[in-house]
Amino acid sequence: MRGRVEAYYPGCSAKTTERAYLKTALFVLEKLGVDFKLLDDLPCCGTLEGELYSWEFTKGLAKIINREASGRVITGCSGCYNTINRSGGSATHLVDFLFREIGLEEIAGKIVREVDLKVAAYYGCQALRPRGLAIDDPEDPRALEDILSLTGARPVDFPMRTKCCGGPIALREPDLAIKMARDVVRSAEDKGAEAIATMCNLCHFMLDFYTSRLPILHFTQILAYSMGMPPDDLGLDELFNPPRKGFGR
Amino acid sequence: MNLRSDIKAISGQDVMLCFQCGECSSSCQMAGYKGFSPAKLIHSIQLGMEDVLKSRIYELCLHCFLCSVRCPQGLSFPDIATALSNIAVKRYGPGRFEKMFLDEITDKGFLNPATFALKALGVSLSKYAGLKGLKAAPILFERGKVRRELLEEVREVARKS
Repeated sequence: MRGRVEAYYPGCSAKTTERAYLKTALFVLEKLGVDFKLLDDLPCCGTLEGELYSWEFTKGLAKIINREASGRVITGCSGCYNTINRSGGSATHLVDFLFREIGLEEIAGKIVREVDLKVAAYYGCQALRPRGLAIDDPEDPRALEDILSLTGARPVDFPMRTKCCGGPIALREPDLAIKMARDVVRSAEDKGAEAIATMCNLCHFMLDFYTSRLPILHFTQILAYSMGMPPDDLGLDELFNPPRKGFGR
Repeated sequence: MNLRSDIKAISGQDVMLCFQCGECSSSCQMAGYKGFSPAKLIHSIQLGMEDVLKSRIYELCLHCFLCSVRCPQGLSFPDIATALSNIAVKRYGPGRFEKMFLDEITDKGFLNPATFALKALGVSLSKYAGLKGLKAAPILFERGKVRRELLEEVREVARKS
């Protein structure tokens, strides 16, 4: 499966507010021996606002992105993943790439230390649905839990794990959006989670910026740590809710 | 101009397939908020009631696509909402946030979510984020680079769409 050069498209947020996601995602890909180029000078995918303005606009952006990548892109952002694919482009979500194309066995082979953490794996919406874009079962996925379990982290089931973070209406209905973000965190907390692991730029921003009851981690921070990334490089202190335990702290 | 055929042309969704089972509305996290209901909206369109366009209530759709995986007729309401928005933009011009977003993307080529939220919500952002707003100050200045010639291309795409 190696031998091809992948293209990693981080998405706007991973270049600005979510740099820790990009940094740790790239570490994980490098550890797994994935040959890739980083496309960090490409335009925004257009996201939902662009699509609501004109689908032709996001179709045009998807064309630019895939052309510059000479084919499909891998992205850690569920929003980019959804918009690019629904705009006629080709994107693979990082979780899907790790789970299906790399495989659990190969990831397990790179784990060098355990993460002692009860973690709630939060999927959000846009990598699970619509059905054609589902990286796993659209309503009862396991991929992220399976990946995180390899690190020794103990996944916690919680009712809101495939519900919306509120991000898409954060501008139009800020009060409601923030309530939705808090509902997700409270749901995980109620089930005994010590942290939440996200797999989307916007989900992470919503949960980390607008709530304060639990540490909100990028799933790649957990994976990178267990693959040997020095704790100081994980970007944990860039989080608004840094974890107090689980990373040699 | 016919709303049903315009929606089909943009999104491929045929609203006449809907037989009002209500699965979409019962799956919807937004249902009931400000009277929002996917099933009701689709029914209005079936009946040819074009005032749903002006109300812009379809903008409350989160595009979580839960309704689309449950619809027995295989309809995707979020795609219908997108089509409605595209039609409304063409007829009445872009809404406030679509306009702001387009301006930002054609100006910089990328979006810093924190900076954009601050721009859109003003100082009330601090009301939502509390004291974290202080820690957030540095990230407001984080800029993503976008290649010059690609930015020109984005502007060209925006002009044409």
